[in-house]
Amino acid sequence: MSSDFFRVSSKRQEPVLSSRYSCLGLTDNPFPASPGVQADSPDPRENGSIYEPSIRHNEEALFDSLLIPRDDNPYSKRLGFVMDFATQRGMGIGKTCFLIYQKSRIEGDWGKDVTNGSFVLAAAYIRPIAQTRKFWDFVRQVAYALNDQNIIAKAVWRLRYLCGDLPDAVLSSAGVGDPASTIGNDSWLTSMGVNPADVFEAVYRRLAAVGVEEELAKCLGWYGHDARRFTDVYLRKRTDSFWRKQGTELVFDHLVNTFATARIDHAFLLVDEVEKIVRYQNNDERRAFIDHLRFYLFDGNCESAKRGFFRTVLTIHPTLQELMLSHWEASGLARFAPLSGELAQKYTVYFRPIENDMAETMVEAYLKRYRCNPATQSLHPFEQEAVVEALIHKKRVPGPMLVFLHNIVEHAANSGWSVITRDSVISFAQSQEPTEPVLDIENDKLLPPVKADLLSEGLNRGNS
Amino acid sequence: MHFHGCANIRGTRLSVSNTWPCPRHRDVGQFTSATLYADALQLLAHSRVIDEITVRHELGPRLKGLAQKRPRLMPDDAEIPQGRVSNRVASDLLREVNAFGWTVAVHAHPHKGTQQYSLSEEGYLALQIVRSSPVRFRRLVTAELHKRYVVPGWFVDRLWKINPRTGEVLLPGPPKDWQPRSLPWDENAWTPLYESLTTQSLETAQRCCAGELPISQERWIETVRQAWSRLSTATRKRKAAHAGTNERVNTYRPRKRLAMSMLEAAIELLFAPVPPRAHRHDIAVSGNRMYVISNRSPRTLLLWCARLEDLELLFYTDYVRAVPGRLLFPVSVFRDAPPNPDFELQESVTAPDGRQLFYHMPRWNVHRATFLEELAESYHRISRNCGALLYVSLLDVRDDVCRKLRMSASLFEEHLRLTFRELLDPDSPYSMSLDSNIREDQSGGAGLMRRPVWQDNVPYFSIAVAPKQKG
Repeated sequence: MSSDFFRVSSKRQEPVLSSRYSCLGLTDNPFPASPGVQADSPDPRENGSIYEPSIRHNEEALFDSLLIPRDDNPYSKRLGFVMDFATQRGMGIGKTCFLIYQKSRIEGDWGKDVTNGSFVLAAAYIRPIAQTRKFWDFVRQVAYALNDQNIIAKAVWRLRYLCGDLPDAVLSSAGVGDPASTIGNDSWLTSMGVNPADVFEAVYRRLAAVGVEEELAKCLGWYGHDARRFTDVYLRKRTDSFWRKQGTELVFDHLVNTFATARIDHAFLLVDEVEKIVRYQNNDERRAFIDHLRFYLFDGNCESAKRGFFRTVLTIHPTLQELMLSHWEASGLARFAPLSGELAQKYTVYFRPIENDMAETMVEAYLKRYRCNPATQSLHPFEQEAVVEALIHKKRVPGPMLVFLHNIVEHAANSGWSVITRDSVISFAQSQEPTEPVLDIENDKLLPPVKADLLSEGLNRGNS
Repeated sequence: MHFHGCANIRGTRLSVSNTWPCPRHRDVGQFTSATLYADALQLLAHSRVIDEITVRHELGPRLKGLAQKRPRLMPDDAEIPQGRVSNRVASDLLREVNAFGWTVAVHAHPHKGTQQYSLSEEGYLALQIVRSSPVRFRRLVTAELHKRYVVPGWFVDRLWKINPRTGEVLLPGPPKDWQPRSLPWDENAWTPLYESLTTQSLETAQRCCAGELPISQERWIETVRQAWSRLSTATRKRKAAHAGTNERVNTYRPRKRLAMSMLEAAIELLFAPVPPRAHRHDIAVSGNRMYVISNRSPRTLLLWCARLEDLELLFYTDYVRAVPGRLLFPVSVFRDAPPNPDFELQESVTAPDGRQLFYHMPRWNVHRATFLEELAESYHRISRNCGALLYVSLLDVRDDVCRKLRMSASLFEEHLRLTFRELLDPDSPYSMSLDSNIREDQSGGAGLMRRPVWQDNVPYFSIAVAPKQKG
């Protein structure tokens, strides 16, 4: 028997019918335990993969007409905004989920579906690290995101396919199944009788021929097909000084050339939490950042601007709008993508608090995955009014509502409830109430009464 | 009825019955803590003779800001800004100690040429008191200061005249959220904005004082406006001189100027020789110096507030959440006889009508439950109003408790110390914790000038109170 020294945490058991949630007809708690979305989490409740597109149908339609290029939408924009319209606390309105869903929607078939087959699109989701004050630092994060999310690797796989050096038998087999295990895999190439080194060289030569910088072309050719190796061999070896001086050239010229050679028409940069950048910047940094945005996205002397390659979505808050506005106008970006005024409506996807029926659809989408009997088609164990009550209690903001539902399901499982009614939601909400601080605003304007009267007895003993 | 003679009073004979005598001196030193006197005496005992230079070098590092406050800090306590006493403080201190008769002047130093002092017989007695009881020493300083400046007794009396019910006085300040940028020096016109802020500040103060602030709105606005226009023309030269340069000062901060104008106006309206609601002087004045506390330099008022607070005669705070400005209230009172032992007599300070000055010193063994209850109540209210934080500003809690119980900051510290001892008892209802990290709002600017709460020679800034978990 092994000692405790070598013990590892036991793998979580698959939920079974006899779980503590079985009284509710569930195999597990269907709702996320923590607020926020963790894109890399394997848990579908936390990584945004339980997504009901119909809830944000209008927002998605606006997103498509605004940014997705199609034959019938030739003048799609290069820059758009996603902004919440929630009252008081904007967190949890569903922006991150929406962006992650758009990314998966685009990258699944290289944008074939969304563009009706007109264009080849890629998409990267970028969540800036706090205190990203300089543009070069942001660019570094873009480069890492493009690599970590396999966009560079996939482009290299396409290059292998497109550069024409592979035998037809290999090309026809490569189109079957997951490209990561076929054309992206060196062992597979060997098994097909192809020397991988020849393929590496072919990609390198092709990239060098279109002007990609020598060292980068070589690293892409030899290691670009494997994101982890490319990080080790190339990205991690770039110093701050490199990113400051050549980072923009790398991303906005050489990588764009690489993608273009792989016949990718546009890449979406879905930037979440722009406040992590803007809030920490001083005046000059903010201005420089916005000037750079204009240069590299719209009219600078670089490949990305010339081709209109990147389509950027910035997730902002009303306060950020105010912080950025003067610089936005001073840099002339307002002419390309207005941040304020009536025209801004056409460039912004607004997220509003959700309605009752949307909440029900959403709750159903979560419940569906964790039902004991998958055939059940209802809100069971919730009564419809219970879901509405929970939504109203959380001010119609979906994120907090889901966490609230998680807590009430836990409570219901512990208490052995079989159904969750409106009354049980109300009583549960009341039992949780004290966590919200109640500001005594009216009394705060007055001074509290004095307990000691120095003209009579001083501090009266009766006070105690 | 007591009649105070006025034959010795210099200048105009305005003094009649029921008036405080004219102050013999007005040159009060630019420092605030009574511990400086004690340290000077200790230094005299140690060095036999001292002069300004010795004082400056030997008094050692102290808490900077409102400064020279209570215990000395360890030199390596680097987190807290410290500084040596200035030349001005050293010379003022020596002058006052000499005026109290605690030193005698001896020959000037042969090389340095500075005047030297040694301990007198009275000084030796004072030193004995320093060593035996810091509280008794504070009472001695109060008596000496009153003898020389009259301000300690008169000021407490005046607070009770301004607000006869509780003695509480609010000196209005500009609203806290008004933080304008600096303006060019010449843009100093009195605008409707300033007028509305001035009106607003008085209204807020009146609401908090339950109408006990005897200032009419018209007079208030007019006096603040006059002070504003005086400051707009008079301070430029002084500011330039202060900055040590002959260059002209080009900008000014409207908030600071309006705050100073309001303070000047408050002195003019509340601390004039004739008290509010009265028609006769309550203090004898000499010649052209009508104001005991200068109405042309609010600094004098601020200085006296800090000194009298240190001597436990009153309490003040600039950090009342409900209202901008300075809240002042006496923790001592003039009365004929003490109703119970919670009142402690101050000797040698008697009002012109014969009433004596008593400190309000609620005894721990009688009022400890009240203290604990009010401490917890203040903590919970403040915590609730700043977003249910666990640790809140101990100084805010201190100010609130002192106001409710009319106790001095020193007595609060003593009671807090005893509270901690009590909380060790497993049956006590609360657990409590103090933290000595300087809070952000006290790490710079005006916050630096705020008195910390001292416990065992360590300054504390935050407090957490929680009901004790049972079982």
